[in-house]
Amino acid sequence: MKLFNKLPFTIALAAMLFTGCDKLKDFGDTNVDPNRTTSPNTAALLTNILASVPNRASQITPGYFCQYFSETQYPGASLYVLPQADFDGIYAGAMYDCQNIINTNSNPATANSAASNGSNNNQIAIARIIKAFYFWTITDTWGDAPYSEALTGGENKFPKYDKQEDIYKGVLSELKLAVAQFDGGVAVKGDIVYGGDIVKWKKLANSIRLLVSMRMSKKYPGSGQFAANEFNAALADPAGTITSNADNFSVKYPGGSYNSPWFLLYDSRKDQGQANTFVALLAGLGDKRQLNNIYGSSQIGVPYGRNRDFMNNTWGSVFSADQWSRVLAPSLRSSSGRVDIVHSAAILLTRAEARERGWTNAATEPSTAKALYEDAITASHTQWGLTASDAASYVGSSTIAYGTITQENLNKIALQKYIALYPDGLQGWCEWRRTGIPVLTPAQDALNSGGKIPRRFVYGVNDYSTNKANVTAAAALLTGGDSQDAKVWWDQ
Amino acid sequence: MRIFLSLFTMLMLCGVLASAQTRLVSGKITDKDGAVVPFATIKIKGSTTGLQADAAGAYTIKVMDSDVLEVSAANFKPVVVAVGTQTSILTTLEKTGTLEEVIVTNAFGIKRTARSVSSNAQVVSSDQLNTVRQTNINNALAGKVSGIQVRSQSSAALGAETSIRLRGESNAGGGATGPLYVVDGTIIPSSNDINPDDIEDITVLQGPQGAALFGPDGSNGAIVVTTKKGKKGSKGLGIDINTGVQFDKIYILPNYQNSYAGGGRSNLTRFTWEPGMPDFWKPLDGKFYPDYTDDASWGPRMAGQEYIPWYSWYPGTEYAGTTAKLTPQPNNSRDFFNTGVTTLNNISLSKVTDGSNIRVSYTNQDQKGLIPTSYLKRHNLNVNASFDLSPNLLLSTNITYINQQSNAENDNAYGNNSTGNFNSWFHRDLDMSKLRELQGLTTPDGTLASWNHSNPDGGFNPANPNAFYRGNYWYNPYAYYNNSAVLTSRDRLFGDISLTYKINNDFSIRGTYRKQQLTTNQEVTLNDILQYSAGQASINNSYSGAAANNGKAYYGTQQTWSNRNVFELVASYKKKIKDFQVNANAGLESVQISSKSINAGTNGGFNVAGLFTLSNSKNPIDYSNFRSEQKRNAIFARGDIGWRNMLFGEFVLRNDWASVLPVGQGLFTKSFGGSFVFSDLVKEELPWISFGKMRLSYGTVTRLIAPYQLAVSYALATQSWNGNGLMGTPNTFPDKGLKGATASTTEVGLDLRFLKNRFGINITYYDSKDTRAPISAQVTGTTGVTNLLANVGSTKRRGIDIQFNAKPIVQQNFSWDFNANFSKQLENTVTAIAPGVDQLVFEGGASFSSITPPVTVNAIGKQWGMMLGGGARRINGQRVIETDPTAANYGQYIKDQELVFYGSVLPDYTGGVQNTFSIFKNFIINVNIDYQVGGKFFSLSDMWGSYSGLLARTAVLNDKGNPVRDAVADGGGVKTSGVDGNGKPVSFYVNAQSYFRGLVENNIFDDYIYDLTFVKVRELSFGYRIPVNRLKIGKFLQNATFSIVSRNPWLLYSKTKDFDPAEIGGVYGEDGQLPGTRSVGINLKLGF
Repeated sequence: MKLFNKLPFTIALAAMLFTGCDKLKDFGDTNVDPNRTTSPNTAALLTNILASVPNRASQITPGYFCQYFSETQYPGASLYVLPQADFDGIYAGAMYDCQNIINTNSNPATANSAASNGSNNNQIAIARIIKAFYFWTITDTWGDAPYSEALTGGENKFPKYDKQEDIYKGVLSELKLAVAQFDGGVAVKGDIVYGGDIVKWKKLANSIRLLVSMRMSKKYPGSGQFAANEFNAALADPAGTITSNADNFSVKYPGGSYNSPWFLLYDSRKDQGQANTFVALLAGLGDKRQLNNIYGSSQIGVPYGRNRDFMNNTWGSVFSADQWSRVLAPSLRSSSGRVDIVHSAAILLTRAEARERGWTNAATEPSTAKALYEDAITASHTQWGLTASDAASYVGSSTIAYGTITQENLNKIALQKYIALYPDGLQGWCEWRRTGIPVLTPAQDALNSGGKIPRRFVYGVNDYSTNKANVTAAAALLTGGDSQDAKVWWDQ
Repeated sequence: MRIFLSLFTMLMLCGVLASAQTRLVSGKITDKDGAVVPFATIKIKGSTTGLQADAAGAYTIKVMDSDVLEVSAANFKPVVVAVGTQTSILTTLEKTGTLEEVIVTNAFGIKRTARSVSSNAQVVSSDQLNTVRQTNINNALAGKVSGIQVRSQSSAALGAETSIRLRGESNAGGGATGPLYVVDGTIIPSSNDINPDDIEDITVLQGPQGAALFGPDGSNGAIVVTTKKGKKGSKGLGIDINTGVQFDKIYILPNYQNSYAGGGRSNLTRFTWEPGMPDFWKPLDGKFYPDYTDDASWGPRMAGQEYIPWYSWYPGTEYAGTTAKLTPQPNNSRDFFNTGVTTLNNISLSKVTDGSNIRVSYTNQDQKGLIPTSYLKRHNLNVNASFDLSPNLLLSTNITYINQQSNAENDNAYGNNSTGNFNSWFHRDLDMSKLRELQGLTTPDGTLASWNHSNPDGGFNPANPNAFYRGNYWYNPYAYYNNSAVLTSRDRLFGDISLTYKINNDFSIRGTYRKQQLTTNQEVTLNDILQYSAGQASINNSYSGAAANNGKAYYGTQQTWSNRNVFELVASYKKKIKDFQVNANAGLESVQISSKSINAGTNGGFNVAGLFTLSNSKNPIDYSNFRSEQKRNAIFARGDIGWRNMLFGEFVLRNDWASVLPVGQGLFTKSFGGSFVFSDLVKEELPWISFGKMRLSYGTVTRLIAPYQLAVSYALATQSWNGNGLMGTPNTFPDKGLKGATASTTEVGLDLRFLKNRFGINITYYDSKDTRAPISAQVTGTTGVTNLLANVGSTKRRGIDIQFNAKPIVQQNFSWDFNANFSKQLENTVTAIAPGVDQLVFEGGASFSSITPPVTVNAIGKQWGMMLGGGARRINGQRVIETDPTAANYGQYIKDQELVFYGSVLPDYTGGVQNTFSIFKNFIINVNIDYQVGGKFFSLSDMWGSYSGLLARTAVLNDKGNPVRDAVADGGGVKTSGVDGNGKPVSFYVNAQSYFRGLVENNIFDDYIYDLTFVKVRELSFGYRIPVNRLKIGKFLQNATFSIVSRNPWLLYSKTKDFDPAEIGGVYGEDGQLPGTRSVGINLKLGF
């Protein structure tokens, strides 16, 4: 009994003597996360980035502005309710993943192990191209935006907003450097678009350079000016540009867990459709992309720019019949559908425009503007499963056929580009802002004051709370402040 | 540190050596009724030293046969006991006054007299807590403790956790931080797992200086529960039975309009039968129907006119092809809900012998929910036992096992299928009895009948009747619940086993192992028929996996396991030396916390209808698993010293090390306090003061970070893309130098009791600071990350807590006991968030493409939890109206460019009043009131309910006496009054739909921000103590009480009439929450 009485005490005593401070502090690897890894896999980062790029080319709201789409039962965004959105999530998402690939492949401590996913140069070059593409789409949407001080991983907590002009110059320079950076090293892994084919990546980079240069046409219309020079430099690059649909920058979804954004558009809600203005425009042109139920599911467009009362009570009598046209044919918005982000039709039309504008000439661009225009229309038709002869008969009509008057030809190119860019709402809206083609009538029941079609997105609330001084400074530079009617630099 | 431990060991060795001389006896001290008298002082006559009994009135002392013991305790008459040959001494004391000494419980089960404690530690007894039996202790505490805000939830949400705030909020990062729950020394993560029937008392320790001994877990205060033990000296069999039943009914719903029917068309439409349409529709030709498809209520006036109801279009019922009268249905959403029935039965058995003490308690809770098909069943088993293995050695254990099974879709989110439907998007003309009657109705092709089907003028396609018959947005709500389930099973086990060794009179050492474990299994099912019958918005189900599935048939399952192991070693020393009473404890604590979970669900619907299994997934299943582990060690010492039971000082020192912190970082906590019972000195001069005490305390407490936060870690996506893995860079990076932090509180207080304790008041002022706490600070995502986890958050809190109690009437046949408390938060300011960041958004509800409802933010220099959102532009407080006739919003209020701060979500005052009336001794009436003043919330239901024309405000008369829905030209319209851009008063009449839609579409939310102010009778009880002795059944029945009880009987005052502000779903407000309820019930308590 006596021993029994002492036993716990003895144990306690032993425990106390044994347990020193060091023991109390030492937790071994308890705080090593078993669920995650601390070393990023650059191939997995790249796949993640490429899986999200189509989101930039399937935006609905800008598609309302350029009248590709319309809303059915609860119109709001299509009536120009304040287009305020945050861009910081895009930076923190795919754009920082790009930066992370660049950092991991540049840092001597990690570059060697990263090279198992492709040569450091090739990985960096691809990441640069996509990052530049993202910056381009962001500045085209909002205008001035953080660029030179962005993506430091929190080192610089308050990145300044760079002027759109500077972002444009930066984007062009980055793309140029990326093309030059590719080496003959190991092909990049995780590339679900081009399978590591650097020839195609170079073509993509040069093609984006053409598109970016042309977007400055209002600012630099002349042939010897900055835009034309950049355009020519890209065109002259020996790697070439996208001339065939086989080289398109397209993401084909596997379906199942990763679904096309066009599939998701109608996966639950069904309140967007093709705008009746767009349907009527294409029908008037005899455009088979529309008439053959490719761009939409039927020929009944959804009235554009009408309020809820009209949509419910007047037009509502056709609402429930599933007759009105959804965006794209059902076969094209399957879960394993494809999203074309940069395609040959847009590139060929851009080259046609440059030739027509005189930015290029027979020496720098052997094809004529007419040939480029017709090739582009053919490329667009075949891109959507039509034939070259469909394209030929389309071009044969007098309204489409290339003429001899420069301004008319420029308008025709602009119209075809607007049509070919469908359903990429952002690009359609940008081109409309640049060219004014087609002439769009603003929503009849617009909810914004002034009732004009928005020219930009308003800066989001996040930056107003986390980077207030810089966003306020950027807003102050806009005519009329941070409003949807203010024009971005290239739109002025 | 080694020196400290060695010193302690030596002290204890001395104790052992000294024990050899004399013989050991154990003693127990009770009052005349057999109740324990804790902390009595025992002295051997003639010696200068003595000892103190423990909280259970027990002590052991080394004596010789010739010794005489002097036993004394506050408020009892002292007695003298001769030892003689007794081996155990039972002493009975007699009370001197009316005051009972309150015992305060702290960490490690350390008990103190309230008199000696230097911070405001409030104790709630079992009787006070269980005036009305509640299934959750937080609800039971409402209004009974000062400094507390209880955020109850609707009882329609079965098993939903009620959260509480102690003295506001401290986290500059935003997340609400509740207190720690401790049951007999074991930390319990969920207040729902504490059974009120087993509670002896609760000590509420507020803030650092009170809860410092708990270490990092106690940084937001602690609710310390002591469970019932077997009581020595009680007569009878020791069997208690407590049985009751309560009925819950919907109490508060938004104020609906009952004049206009559903739909978006203000007139009925004439139906024309066309070939191809079903034959049974022929009789409807030429009759009129409302707009079924639009789920708002901007329809025609309900005037008893003939119309075609929604169900006439479905074949297979007697109503097919018939018409009805369009009449108001004011109670339709109320009628949807069942009467909830809760039965609550408890039986406990206890047995106490000289060397042992055991209590076994079993509670059964069975709830039928207010939402059809919902239920909750719960079993709670508690065993509490202790055994004297020898006079020096005590073994005790305390084990609770809880099993709970429920089907409860506690969905307060936007678009949920009960209130989310009725209060946001609904048709006011729907007859709920028809929906109930036709809940099983389907079409021949298997579409569930819905009130929200298409309009016949959209064209009925005989080849695809489903397109017509399915609900555009909504199901028949009964059909939804019949075809969905959220089945949850929880098994909670917690308890401890400890061995206490009493070395001698003064020293003891206790080793304790504690464990707390939770295993859960959840299954969410959504039947195929819901997918097939869904139009656009389809299945609104907020359960994560189901929500991600966009309304497909779904089966998801989740298994979780969490565990907390604790080992404690506590040495205790107590000694009475002349006028000094010393108590000290020291020890170490080692904690291991781990959790694991696995989660899987189908994706994209099913291959085989109605088969709920993962392998039935159309696409590869979604799944995830998670593991987490952390370890902590701490050493601590505390002590208190009392002089003549009048002047007290105390301290706590504690050092924590934790695996989650940077290697080597220790966090040191300290607390000091003193109190002075001055009334003992002024007894002669101020006889009307029965008790007076001043107290002062200061303390710090540590704040930890979560596991695995120190490194940037990358997770892989669940599914690969054609064999390619996907990985994203995390959006939160740790800041360099991230570490734990400390918070501190200073508190002063005054306790006074007057006129033989008939009146008492207790006032406390506190001042708390959190400095550089680790928070997830938002940075602009343009940096590449959205959050930096950094030591940047600081808050400051000051406030006053007052408790008041009185016995205003003490008569033979009538007495009134009165307890009141009040607390005012003087400030709860956010003083720092992150360099250059002046505000941080931390909570918001649903948002919509162009409609961004208000969110909750922390902003520097402002109160914690400010509501921030779009609002009307104002000039001198007057709303500005658009005066441009060409503008779309002509005559309507204009939105301010800047977002508006609507005020903090924290109330300014909270408090409560408990009244107990005893009539003819055996009748007891309790009326418990609680209240809060100030604080804001946002109502999304009211926003959509106004937008949709459901609420009364959309169908009132304007100042001309005309319905606002009448055309402006006819004298209708909503009157807007304000100023133009120059501040000149203007006024317009605006079309009602344009007005209510315009507010929402323009993000003007002023009208949907409400005050949280309320005064409510939360508990009402009328009890009758059956006089068992007079009825001559006292031999076998010790006591019996019958009571009629009611919970939430009466909301006396609230600023909003649409909700019960005491039961708001989220911190920012509500998105579609379940309604307030009221219950009545009966209860019978028997003691054998």
